Amino acid sequence: MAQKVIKYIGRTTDFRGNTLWELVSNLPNWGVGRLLIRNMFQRYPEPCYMRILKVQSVDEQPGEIRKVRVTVEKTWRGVTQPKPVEIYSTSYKADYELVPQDQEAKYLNNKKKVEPVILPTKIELPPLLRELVSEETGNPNPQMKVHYKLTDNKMARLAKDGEKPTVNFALGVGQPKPVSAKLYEGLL
Amino acid sequence: MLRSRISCALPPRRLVSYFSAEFNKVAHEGPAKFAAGSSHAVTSVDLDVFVNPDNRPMDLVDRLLKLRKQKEASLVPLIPSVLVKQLLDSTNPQETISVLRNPIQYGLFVDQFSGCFLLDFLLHNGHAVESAQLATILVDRNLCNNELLESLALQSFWSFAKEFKPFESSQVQPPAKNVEVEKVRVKFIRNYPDDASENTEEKKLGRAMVRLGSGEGSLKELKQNVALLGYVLTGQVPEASSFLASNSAALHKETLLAAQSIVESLKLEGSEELLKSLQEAVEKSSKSNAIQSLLENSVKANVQKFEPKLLADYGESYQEWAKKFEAAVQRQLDSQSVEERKATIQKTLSELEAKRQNLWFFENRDDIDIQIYKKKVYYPKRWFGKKKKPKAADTFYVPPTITHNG
Repeated sequence: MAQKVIKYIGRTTDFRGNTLWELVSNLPNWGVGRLLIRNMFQRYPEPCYMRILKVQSVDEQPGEIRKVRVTVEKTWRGVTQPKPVEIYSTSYKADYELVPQDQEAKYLNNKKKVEPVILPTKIELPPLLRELVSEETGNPNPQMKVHYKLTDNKMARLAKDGEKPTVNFALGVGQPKPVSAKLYEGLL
Repeated sequence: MLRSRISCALPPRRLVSYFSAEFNKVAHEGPAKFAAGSSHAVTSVDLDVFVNPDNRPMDLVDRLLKLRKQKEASLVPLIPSVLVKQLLDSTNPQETISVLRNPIQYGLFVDQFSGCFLLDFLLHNGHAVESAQLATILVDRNLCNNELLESLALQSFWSFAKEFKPFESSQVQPPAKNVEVEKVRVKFIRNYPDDASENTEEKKLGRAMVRLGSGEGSLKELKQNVALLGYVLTGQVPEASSFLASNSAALHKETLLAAQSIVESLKLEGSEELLKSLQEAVEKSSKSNAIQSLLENSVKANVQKFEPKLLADYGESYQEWAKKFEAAVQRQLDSQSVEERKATIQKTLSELEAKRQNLWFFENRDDIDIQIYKKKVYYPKRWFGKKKKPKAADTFYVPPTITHNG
């Protein structure tokens, strides 16, 4: 009998691991309490992991990668979400990996946190508008108030009284980065 | 014909067991003293409520497979102690092990009680390969955390190693010429980092043997013997040589001879030096007593020690499972009753609508008669269009004279 070799044709991805269903269905008690990671999120120096809280299976659809509803306690770049998060729409991606129990301390003991971005409360007006407002009001350097809507999943917030912002929004062309400074020799 | 009917024709007979009669009775007949308040059968888990509402004949394996594909998989608890016995009764040991090794499809996880029972059954019925595979499952899932399971696993691995034969699935077939390529369209191409050659049956069993053999405790000497066999099975010749050199005092002659036969049958690369070392160790070995008797003695001693705790844990797990299973069944029955009530209401509404349509004429008969009486018929005047003027040719027309005589 002729030997057959199967060659898969489809979309290539950078995912490395298993789907969420393959992981939770292979664990007793559906892996409640275990740690999960996504290999795509391991590019950050801060720890990104999820702890399984509850698993709810979904009917298997023929011809499709099986999905599963998993309620997790999500830690994103060292910041733990205050409420549990349900993973369903991305559970088909083969990017999940189970953390061995003896290596959980590697993630739990990593206390690095992403620094929150502090935005200034006032920034400069555009150049032409600044000239118009200066002529009208007599103020040589008018400022514009910043409006920013704060939500749960945002890492940036407005600066409080007496707090120094970490991001400075300055109008203008700016200066080139050191890696490309030689391209601007004789021009700036 | 169902496979269970063929299997039931020749029920297995158990003559020898490491465990007591109480243990075997609980394993075969179920915990009768715990099931007083349960309305379901003790010796079998009834899954027909969830996967077989029509009560068609279906194998237990098919039931487990179908349950796993439904959304009720995460709601229905499965007790492995009872289901393993059901699997053994309805299928053969090979299929039972394949079900236990594939929880993704079947959802059955072995526990300590069912592991002990199944290992005891397989060891006393000559299923050495299946017992080693089950021991591998127990080691991989960290269930060998007491001396009883460790000794049973050690005996399983030893029974497998002393009569070792290479697995057919592990034979590497050379690539054939003019091989036919079949293209399959998938949505995403998976990136598998594992190498297929590292997941052969021998390597899986060998890794479990090495892992079990690296532990400490009162069974350290026996573990070291099994660890050497594990290194040889996985093909780790340098590690096996170093292990042999550092632990030669604890190795038995039987183990060394078994390792030699394994090396020769597997045809490992670079194994000439290892074979020489093994031969030298065999000649120098001072331990010529039977390792089988040591293993059996350790198993019997640990059975006396751990069986009461095992039975107690089983009782607790059964009670917990019974509560959860009862709740799942009740939930399923409630959902089914809701669906039935909905269907009944829809049927009733449709019947009422049909009756209402039929009764409409009789309810409105008088009104219809009055409307007919009041209606007057007005025949419209016939009109043949605009009156036409005679043509010019007819102006001077004189009709012919018609006489009375024709």
